[in-house]
Amino acid sequence: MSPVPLPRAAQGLRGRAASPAVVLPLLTAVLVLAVWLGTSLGSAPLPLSQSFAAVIGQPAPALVRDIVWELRLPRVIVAGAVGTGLAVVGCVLQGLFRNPMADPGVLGVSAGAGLGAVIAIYAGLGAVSLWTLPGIAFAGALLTALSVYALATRGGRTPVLTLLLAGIAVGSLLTSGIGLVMILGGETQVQTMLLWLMGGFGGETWQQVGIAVPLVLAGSAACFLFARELNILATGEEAARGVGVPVEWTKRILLALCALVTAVGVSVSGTIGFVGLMVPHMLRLVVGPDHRRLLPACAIGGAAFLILADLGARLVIRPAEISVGVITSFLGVPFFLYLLRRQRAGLGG
Amino acid sequence: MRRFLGVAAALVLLVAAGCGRARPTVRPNPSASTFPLTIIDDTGRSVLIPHKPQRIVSVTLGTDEILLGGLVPRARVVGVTKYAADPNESWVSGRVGHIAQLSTASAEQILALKPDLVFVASYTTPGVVAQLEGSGVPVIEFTTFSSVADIQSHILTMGRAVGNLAGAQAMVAKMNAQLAAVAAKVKSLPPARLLYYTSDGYVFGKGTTPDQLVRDAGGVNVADAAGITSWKQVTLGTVAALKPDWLLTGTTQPGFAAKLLRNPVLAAVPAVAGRHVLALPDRDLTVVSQYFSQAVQVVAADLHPSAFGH
Repeated sequence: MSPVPLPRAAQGLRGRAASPAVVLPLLTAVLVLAVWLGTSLGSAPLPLSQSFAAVIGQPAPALVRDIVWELRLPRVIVAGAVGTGLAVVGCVLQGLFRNPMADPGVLGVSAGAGLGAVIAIYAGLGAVSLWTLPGIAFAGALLTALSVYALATRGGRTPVLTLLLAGIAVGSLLTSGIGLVMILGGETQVQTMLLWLMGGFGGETWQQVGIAVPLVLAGSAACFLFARELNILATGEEAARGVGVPVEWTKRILLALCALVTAVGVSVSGTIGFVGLMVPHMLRLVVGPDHRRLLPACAIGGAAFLILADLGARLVIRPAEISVGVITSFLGVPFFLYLLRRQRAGLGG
Repeated sequence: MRRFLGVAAALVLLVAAGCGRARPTVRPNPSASTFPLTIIDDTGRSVLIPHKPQRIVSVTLGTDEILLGGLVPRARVVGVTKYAADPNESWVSGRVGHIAQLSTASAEQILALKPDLVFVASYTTPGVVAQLEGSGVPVIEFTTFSSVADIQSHILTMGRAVGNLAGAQAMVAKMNAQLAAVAAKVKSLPPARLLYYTSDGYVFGKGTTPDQLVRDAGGVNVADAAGITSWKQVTLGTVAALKPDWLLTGTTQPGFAAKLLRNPVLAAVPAVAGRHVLALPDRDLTVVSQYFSQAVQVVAADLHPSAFGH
């Protein structure tokens, strides 16, 4: 990427921000704490000293080692990576669409993954192998992203508003498809579908860590390269073109990255709402709207947030677990309503 | 989610085929009691069981009932589903005692019990099965719950796995005897036209366990006769149109049977007019263990009391 100077309007992004030198280490400390708590606490009541010893590779009973290394650590890593991915994608899409309500669901990708997953469960493919269900969910997500993009593109241009509307329309259609498959499914299948749709990290293994985490993190990191362009796009596409930003190319690449990260994340964890909406907004209040600060903050903050939400899901009705999507929704819906009211107030509504 | 882990094992039978009554031929297997033992489970995986299991965990209600129903001494079972202790759901509620009751199929909860054998079903989260296997725990997975033959196949597989094939064979033989006894009593009786209707509005047609239960008990499932397959949510109007002579429902929602009797929409339905509304514990209606044959007896005795000396 060739450096592009910020237009005057975008230079205002530098104001009202806490210093990254303070915020990023602070967020990193929260992330480290979240990882420690996530590996130390869970449905099995292990002594904290033993689980900590297991985490740092010190001698610990075999059972503790197994639970910490084979169950909790993969779970925490996948939750962290998915949290990073969702938060970064939410941040990118909010910038790209210049819409504070945008999140990883707006492209219909989550609904596409969801439809793929419920079809897989309905067809009895979920038990074929560990990868069948995530694989079909991933295919559904990517197919949806491509469809939405194709529907919104005319004459080589993809207006963001058209893309947003196409994403919402296709997402609604696919959500109806999910409902239809659930009506056709047996009760046990419906329960499995609901659990998947609500999201969770209960079944994560090192295999998933090995495949999903690098893809999510690489996709998220690639978005960082476009931080400056996102800042400029925040001032409008015409202005961006005026300062030499290849707008359509940038949008295409960013949408592809967002679709990839969301598809991988959703396919391994199910649909987890509100992370991509909340985390960027919360951190925008702290570090300001400059994507060069905001994206790294979202990456770290999203990871910490989802690891802690997953920990909450494990502890709320311990030893049973609830879906992490329930926790994020309980936090996210009030926040979403707050945003709506704030936006209305800003508009004088 | 209340039933996910355990009762789901039973409810999965709602998509059961149920039409075949072929009973598996039970042959003694001399190698069955010799450990280490390899079992090929329903998924086709070879599961190596190194020694006779002494710490068995079950995460489906069906396998809870098979284990605690006499296949192994209670001391060898260290974990069952929480539904096993619920008398409305389970045939073995009185035998759970202090055995750990699992709320969800969490690998962490299961591993904490230090199991040497775990029984799961196809709807157990695939990742959880992989996690358990990754920790070196033998896991036997059942995928089909389509018929009495499937139930009996599970019993025999479990019998081999726990080192009690003879006990499993006896269990299967008892089932077959009970089913044959019911069949003999009801075969010359006029079939009762019955509809199983749940408090959340579902009926069960062809290819479901309740369908087989009704037929084995000497009834005709009017949902099946009307072309309904699997389980479908229907309105009370449909229930009225099906005109069952008997309505069968569970006891999950207390008072539901009384509501049906009072509902004016159903007033002209023969089952309601004749006050033939049966409310049975869910354990009778969703059973996927050896107790299926007892559930058939219960329903048959309600439909044909004179044939059973009531």
